[in-house]
Amino acid sequence: MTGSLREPDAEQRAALQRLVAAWAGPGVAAAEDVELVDVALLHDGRPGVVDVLARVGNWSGDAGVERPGDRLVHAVLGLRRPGDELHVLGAREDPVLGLLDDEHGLAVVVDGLHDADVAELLLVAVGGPAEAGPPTVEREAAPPPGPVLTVSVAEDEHDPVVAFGERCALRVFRRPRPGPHPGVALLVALDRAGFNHLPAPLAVWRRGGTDLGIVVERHVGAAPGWALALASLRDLCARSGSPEEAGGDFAPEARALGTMVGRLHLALDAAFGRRAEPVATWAAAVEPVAALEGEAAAALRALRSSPARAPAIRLHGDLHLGRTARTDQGWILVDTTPGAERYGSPLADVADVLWSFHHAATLTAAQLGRDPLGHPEAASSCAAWEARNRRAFVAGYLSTPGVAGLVPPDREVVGQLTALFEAAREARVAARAER
Amino acid sequence: MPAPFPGHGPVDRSYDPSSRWFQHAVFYEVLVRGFFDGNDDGSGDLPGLRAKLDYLQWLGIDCLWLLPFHPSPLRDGGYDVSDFFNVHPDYGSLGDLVGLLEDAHHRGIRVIADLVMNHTSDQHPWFAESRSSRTNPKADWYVWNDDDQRWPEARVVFTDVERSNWTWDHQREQYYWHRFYSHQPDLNYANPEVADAMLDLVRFWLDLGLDGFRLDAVPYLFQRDGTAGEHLPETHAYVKRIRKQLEADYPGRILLAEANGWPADVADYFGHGDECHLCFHFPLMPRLFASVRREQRYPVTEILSQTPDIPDGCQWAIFLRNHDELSLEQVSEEERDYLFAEYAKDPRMKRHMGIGRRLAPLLDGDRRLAELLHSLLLSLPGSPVLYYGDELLMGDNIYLGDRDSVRTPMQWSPDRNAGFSKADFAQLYLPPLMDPVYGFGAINVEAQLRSPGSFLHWLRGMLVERRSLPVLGVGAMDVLGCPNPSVLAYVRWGEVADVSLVAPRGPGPPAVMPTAAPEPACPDQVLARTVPAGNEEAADSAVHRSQAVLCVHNLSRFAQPAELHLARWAGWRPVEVLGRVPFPAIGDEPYTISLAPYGYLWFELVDQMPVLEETGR
Repeated sequence: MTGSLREPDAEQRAALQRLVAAWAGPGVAAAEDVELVDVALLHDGRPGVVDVLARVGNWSGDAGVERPGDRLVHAVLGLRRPGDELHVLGAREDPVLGLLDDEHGLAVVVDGLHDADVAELLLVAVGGPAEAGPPTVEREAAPPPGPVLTVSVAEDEHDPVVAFGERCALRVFRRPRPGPHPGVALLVALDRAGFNHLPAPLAVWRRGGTDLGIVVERHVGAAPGWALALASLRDLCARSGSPEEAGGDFAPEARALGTMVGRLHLALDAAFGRRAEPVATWAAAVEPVAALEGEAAAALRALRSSPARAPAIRLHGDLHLGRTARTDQGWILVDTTPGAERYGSPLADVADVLWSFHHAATLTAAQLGRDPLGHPEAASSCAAWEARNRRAFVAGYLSTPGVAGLVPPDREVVGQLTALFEAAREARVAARAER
Repeated sequence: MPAPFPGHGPVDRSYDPSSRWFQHAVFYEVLVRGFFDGNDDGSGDLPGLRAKLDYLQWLGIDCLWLLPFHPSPLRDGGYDVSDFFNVHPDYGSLGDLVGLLEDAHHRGIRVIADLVMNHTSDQHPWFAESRSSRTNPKADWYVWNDDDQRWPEARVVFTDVERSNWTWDHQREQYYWHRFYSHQPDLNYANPEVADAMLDLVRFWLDLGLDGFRLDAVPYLFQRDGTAGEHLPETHAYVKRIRKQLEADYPGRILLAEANGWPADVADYFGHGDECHLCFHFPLMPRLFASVRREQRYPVTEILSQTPDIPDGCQWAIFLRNHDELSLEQVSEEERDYLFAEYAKDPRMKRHMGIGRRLAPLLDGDRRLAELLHSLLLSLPGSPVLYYGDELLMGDNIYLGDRDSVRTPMQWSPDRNAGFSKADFAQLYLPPLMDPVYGFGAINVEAQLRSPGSFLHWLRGMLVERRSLPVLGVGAMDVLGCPNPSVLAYVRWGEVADVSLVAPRGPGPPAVMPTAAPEPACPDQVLARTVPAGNEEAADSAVHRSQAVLCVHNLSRFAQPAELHLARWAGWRPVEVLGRVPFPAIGDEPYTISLAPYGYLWFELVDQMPVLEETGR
């Protein structure tokens, strides 16, 4: 038996290195590839919770040579009494990583996010009453109330998300970056600006200035925006007719989505401010990335020499139907973790969503075109669907009170800019597909 | 002679003695003029309605709501009353009304009627006197003004017919105020004499045995400068005064508010449980139609989420269609355009700010949709109000003026005049429907009674089931999250009481029913039934238990999967209500159900143990 993990001794640190190597899996060959950055005991005893920040690489093969794999990782380790039955979460069949000794004796160490009991303790540490938590957790917001019913875990873009009943979910950043996480900063800023079309942040888990995770409200039963659009297209194509007469008409939803995006931009403007930029600069930036034809080429010609200036605001930057969901209260953004911070015309986000409508329509038409039974009207039905919902979305966006101050006053310029940005989006998607 | 109403045995229809009977009652709105002609003069009447009480008892309704039956020039379906204290001669006499009330009560059916309290006909003697001079005793019984500029904030309700709420009277040489048609001058409630006179009217009808009133156009009673003249505090104070009268002298009688507004505004008419017992939930209705056309639950769930909690002892009244147009006042402009485009393709179908069509034609005659919408009507929070003829899926006649399109004669049989009247066809107040789809040859009570698979039998069966599930009336509601937007699912849950009482057959306890004539001697009977907890005040014994009903609806015309988040009910077992079929028990994972196109399922959620015992394990 050794001492407390609050201040791990050399032996415990060596054990922790082995455990993190086992946790990190293939690519990290040995304990020597792990350098502990920070160890925090979040819950003492059995079960216990130890939170480890470490740098991992693959140095053992070529001593002293840093490989590209060198990175900061974040492991939540659960300490169980040997012989305890585990309530294993998710697809990880065997969450056991190894053994560790402390003043309570020998512990079986598991991946804490795949052990329901440990996950609950973690939630209490991260989001529970401040006075009960250890000093190793900084919080941004109020803790989530109420009892936990069931716990489940899922992977969302590499980060595990632990769902606690229907109430809240904890996303743990497996590969944190030093300093604030841009997605968290965006989410908190939007929440503070009064934008309520998102899963409200309930607590931010931060240590030493690094964001380690976030607890957000859950919207159980929300329908993904992309699935909703495809269902509408499917229903339309199942029977011929115009989209407004078919069941599952999406236009009222598209309009409401436009309003939501309008409110998003108003909140971004309020939270991050704006600056005036020349419209011609935006046009010039599109030119090299997209081979422009038709409407977009004409728009470029018109805007290249335009003297107009228009507001640039912080953008979402990667908005599409897949980042939205419909709840029983309205539309929400389900993902605010885009890449780099981008400023520009809010019409760039608008164009991204319009392209998403186009993508849904063309994808459906293409799929139905391959159907041996044949859907001769599918292409025209999908085109009519796209046109109707683009109109509804733009109408919803532009009629949102306040949005008129964020876009150029000339509606023709609005149309031209949107066409250009949409061409740029298409080019980016095509480039990504080629890679 | 075959039984007149085949297919089911007798239903327990004795009088529910609880003062909160309205919380789990099913209402049936009936146009006296259109229901059944008892004297062959071409117009329905009170004796005719009385003759059809067996049918209504068999159907399983709890309370009749009579549209206005008072003397009237009938320029607005009787809502233009010219004598508040009498019965229109076409419909019978005061004695006929008393006879109807006695027979209805004997069958356990209560009767409420419209109280047209905001205005009278311009043919009313009160108005004749008031307009005769500026100094007569009733000069201030109506709202007069020298110009037509006062209260510009007050909207015109019938914008397609009236241009102003003021109309010039040549006799008195002043303008009079009217919120509806110009032939319906508004009474001046600021005059205490008017307020007292209308309270006399309330007592008069309650003394005759009516069980309550629908307060017609209640938001508009008072006016005040600088306001829209709706929902004013003075109006609420007056409704409280009526309620106080009921509590003091007529316990068990009810007030039902007709206030077409946003739920948060309308809920004010419940007061603190000291105004109306029920309020119509107007905004829900167009959203039910929007949801089934868009095949998404959101229009319904959004309005439900904006519906406030109501005081204990109160209830919403919900409906699919009624005697008016399908009102689109409480929807946004876009939603209105959408609903007009979907449901009123012919301009003749539009009436005022709504659609003048009956339920069946609105649904293109789709029986599946009719069942789906009734399943919602009978399981959403509130007391359902059925409209006469909709139990047959009767049609409408959009070529008739104003709202007569939905007020054609009840279709009883394929005989002459739909079995409604033996008068000459030309004498009828309106022609019955004769088209091949909805005409009385195709749609009538007689045919549907003979056909066990008819909509009439289906609806009756659903009403029977609903009586055993009073939690649908007053229980709490949890809307279940479901990623499939076409699925609308919720759990209604709460406490109920299994009661038994020794009840005399007849009009119920005297405290509730102080009617005149003594009843013929009938043996007492022991009744067993389930009522919401708190409604067992008159029972001899009561056993409390919890009840929970899961209702799942598919708003799509295609089969759909429903993944329901029911973790709260883990360990419980859904038992399908119509067939008593036990389904797999609920676990921690989302519960999956497959639904047929426009399908609906009701499950009673039962603790798993009794089911296991039944199977002997």
